[in-house]
Amino acid sequence: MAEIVLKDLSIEFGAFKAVDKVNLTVKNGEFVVYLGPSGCGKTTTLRCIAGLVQATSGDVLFDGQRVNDLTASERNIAMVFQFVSLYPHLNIRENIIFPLKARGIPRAEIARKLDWVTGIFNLGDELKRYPSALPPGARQKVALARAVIRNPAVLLLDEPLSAIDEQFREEMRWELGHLQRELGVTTIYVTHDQREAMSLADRIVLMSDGRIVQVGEPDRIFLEPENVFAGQFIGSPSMNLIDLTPVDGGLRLGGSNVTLTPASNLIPEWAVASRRKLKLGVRPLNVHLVEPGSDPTAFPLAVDDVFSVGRERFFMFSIDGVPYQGVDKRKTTGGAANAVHFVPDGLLFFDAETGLRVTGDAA
Amino acid sequence: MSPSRTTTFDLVSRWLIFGLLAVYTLYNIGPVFWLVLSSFKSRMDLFAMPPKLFFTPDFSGYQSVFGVGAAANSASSVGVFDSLVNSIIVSVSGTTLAVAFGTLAGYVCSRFNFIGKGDFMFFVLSTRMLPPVAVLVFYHLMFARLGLADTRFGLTLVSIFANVGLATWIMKGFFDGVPKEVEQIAIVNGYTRMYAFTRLVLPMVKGGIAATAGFCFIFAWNEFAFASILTTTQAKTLPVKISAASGATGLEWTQICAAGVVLIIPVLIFFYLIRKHLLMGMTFGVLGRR
Repeated sequence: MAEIVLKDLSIEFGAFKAVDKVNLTVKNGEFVVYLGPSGCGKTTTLRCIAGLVQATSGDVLFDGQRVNDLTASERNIAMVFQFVSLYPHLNIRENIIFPLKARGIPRAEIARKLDWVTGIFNLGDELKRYPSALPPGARQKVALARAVIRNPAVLLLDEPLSAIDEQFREEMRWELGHLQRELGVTTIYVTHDQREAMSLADRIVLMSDGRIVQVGEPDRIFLEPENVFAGQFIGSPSMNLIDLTPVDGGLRLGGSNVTLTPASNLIPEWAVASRRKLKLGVRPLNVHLVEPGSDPTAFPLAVDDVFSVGRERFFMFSIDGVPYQGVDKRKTTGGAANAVHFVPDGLLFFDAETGLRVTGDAA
Repeated sequence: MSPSRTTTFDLVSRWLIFGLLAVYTLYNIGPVFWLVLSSFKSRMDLFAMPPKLFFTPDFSGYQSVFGVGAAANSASSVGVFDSLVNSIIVSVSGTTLAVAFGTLAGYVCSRFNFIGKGDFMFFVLSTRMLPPVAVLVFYHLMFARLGLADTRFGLTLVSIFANVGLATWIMKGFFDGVPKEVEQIAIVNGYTRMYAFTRLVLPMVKGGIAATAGFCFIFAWNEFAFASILTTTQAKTLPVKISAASGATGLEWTQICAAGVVLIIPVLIFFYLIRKHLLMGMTFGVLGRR
């Protein structure tokens, strides 16, 4: 187990800055998920922590020790990759004990560890089989077993579940979280799937273009995104982002004729008082389509489409030609008149210029 | 259109296709059949008119090809056996070395970046685009000066030169199909890259090595242009020998035909053995996962 510190870490490939002055502390035993779109530098950071990629500048510290110059094998880490990288010519048993073989560990010890790890992953019946005989999900289990068998100080996982069937992925995700807590191993997990990040992480590190956008517990990032990117990247369906133009006594919704006012729509006073151009961020679950007259804060808005997703019904509306989503809360569909209501607690305001979130305190 | 008419149409088109394929097969098999048949004929039967389908088999052609029996030492023997030995030595050693070098070079080109890699890969490929005739004179002069002319060693070198580029390209394709995580997992766990290459990556591409060897062997086995110019008496390979197998009494057709059959057999065996890997090899491994 180890605490990992990244200090002004930069990684460049020629002129391309893959990682740009990143600072982060991962606590001992913590489960940190690196989240971000493809090419944001999350995998590069992981590989640098592993020792497979050299830092251009800055340091990687394990328990206060600088490890930049240690080779991957000297760092006591284990990795699992997106594509299952079992060795097809070795059977499951040989694959799992592969890391122990390199270290000349006695046979009895290997047998004991193999028992322990096959017990955790329920792989006892598969030991004699070869990887090609196993489904992809089970193969990834073997890869995980191989990773944890020698009690690494740090477990590095690079999108380990993304090549697995949806159905099995849920199960694996649950098992993985359980295993990590049981072993208490410091874990860094890279993914572009925000649902995986939300369900697994103690803390999420949200990255974009080689920089950290926000670090925090999943709930905090969801409820208090620091900027437009964080707001839109996390949450499904994606957050609605609508331009607000200050007008007398209120804020106009884009180019529509709807003006939100503190008095009738419960939007905050400061947002109107600041008189700056803002963007309204409101998640679809906080946009309600209601029967006219049922809610005093509701306002009329044209509805483009209504569709059902199992138990819930969503509706589409558009402002300035941009489509947005909300939840249809009406008891019956198809009424001529429509009213839309924003949940006041669910309104986020972003500066139209910088994209940063603004609150009453800052304004 | 009624169902019965559809069936008739299907039947006709099916027989038409069968018929065309049968003609095409005959067109291809015919010469081979004639070759095999002729290799068992005596000189008398060979020139009989009309051609004989049934005759007393004469094994003298094969005896002289394999260097056994009375026919091998007779005045009419043209020494095909020596050229068979030459062919085997040159093809096997040339293939082995070309595949060995190609495997190493292909791995480097797949895994490492170096300055001028793109140009290097093109250069390697361009050695195969080169028509042999274009450099034959140069080779002839060079080999004469170096004392390599008419030696198996010299021909083996040519065989390596001709095939190592192809081997590099095919093997690079197969290595590209092996995820680089295979080595990274090993390195993270304290193994060396050499261990990862020899014990993990190589077993994963053994099918590719077989396919590459198959291609190189067939090219080496069939090679004619270089062998015909660079050999005179000692190092003649089978294809060269067949092209001009004249003995004391003129062209020895029985021996030529027997040698032709012998020339075909290793190719058949090789293709049969590597048939599973052939498609992958022909697509330079690009059908494999990347």
